[in-house]
Amino acid sequence: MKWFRITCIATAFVLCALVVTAPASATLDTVIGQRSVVPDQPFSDCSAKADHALTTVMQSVTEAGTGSGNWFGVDSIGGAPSEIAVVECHPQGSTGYAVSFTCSVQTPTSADTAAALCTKVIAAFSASAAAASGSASW
Amino acid sequence: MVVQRSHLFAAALGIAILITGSLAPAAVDLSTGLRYVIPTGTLDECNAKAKTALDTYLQNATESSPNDWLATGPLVQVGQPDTTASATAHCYAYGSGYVVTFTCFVETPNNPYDASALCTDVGHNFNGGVQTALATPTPMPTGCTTANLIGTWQNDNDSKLTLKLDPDGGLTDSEDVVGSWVLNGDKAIITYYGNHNMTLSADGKHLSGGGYSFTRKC
Repeated sequence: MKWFRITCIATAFVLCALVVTAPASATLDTVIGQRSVVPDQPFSDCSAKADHALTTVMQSVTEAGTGSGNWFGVDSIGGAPSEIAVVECHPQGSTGYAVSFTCSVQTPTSADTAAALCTKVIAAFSASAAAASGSASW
Repeated sequence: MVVQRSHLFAAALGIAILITGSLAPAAVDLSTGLRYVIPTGTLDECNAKAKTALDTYLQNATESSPNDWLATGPLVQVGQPDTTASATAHCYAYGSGYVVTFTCFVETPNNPYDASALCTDVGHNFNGGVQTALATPTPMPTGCTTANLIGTWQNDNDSKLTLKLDPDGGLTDSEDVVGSWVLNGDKAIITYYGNHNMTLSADGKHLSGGGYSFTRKC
């Protein structure tokens, strides 16, 4: 029993040592993805596709102000946000919209780079657009 | 008294965490949604003001694509050479004017301010609003003291190994591996790939024991 207790305590200390000597996550990687202008689609379509794209790729999705068209998705590790993607929709002309993508990830915590994350979100947005319009392009 | 094995392990783990110090996970803080509608103006004007606003609070604002601006920082990097903050500005044509939007990312707790504070200042710089000076990191104390272990420590046996011990009881080596430190009198516990019981010299300059020997740069 004595040795079991010692083993328990020693194991706990080893686990703690591993935790407190984990690599620091000290760097942000941020990119602005491709901006696109869609001339003949309503603004609401952009919001719907942004929501869908982020929901496909990220753990949680929020619109920063209902009806704003400014959407963001967050992936967390251990409860701490480590990857964020932002999709902004803006009215463009009388019937279209512009959409832009911004991504930021914490390195080396995140498996993806910011560029890779934005590529996924843009692909999901594009796929959503293609599915909605029946075409392969925005 | 009967103690279940799982309870014993949990208790030991909890005590060990308290002794060795816990690591607050770093996180990305976001601020997005700040936008201004400028009824009359050009995209060139928007771009110029966006660059100025970003460069005021961060570094190297660049137009990554037409009308899209990105800057990284922080502007003041005391003992923190990495990128821990960034901000973007997007300019969109809108009627006879334009719309500008700002998004900020700040890594916490490695910055003394959050993303909202950064974006508010960048936005206010753009539109001429009131700006509040962002908090700056506390400079690392210099000099040797027996009151704490804050400072940069050089391994006496390995010139490549340097530890930076911070005022919050944390330490970071040259490869961004982190640990912690505790000082009680002249006895120190350094948690760095395990716990090391060490002794601080009377002049506050040397730390030895537990298989390590360090000299403070002071």
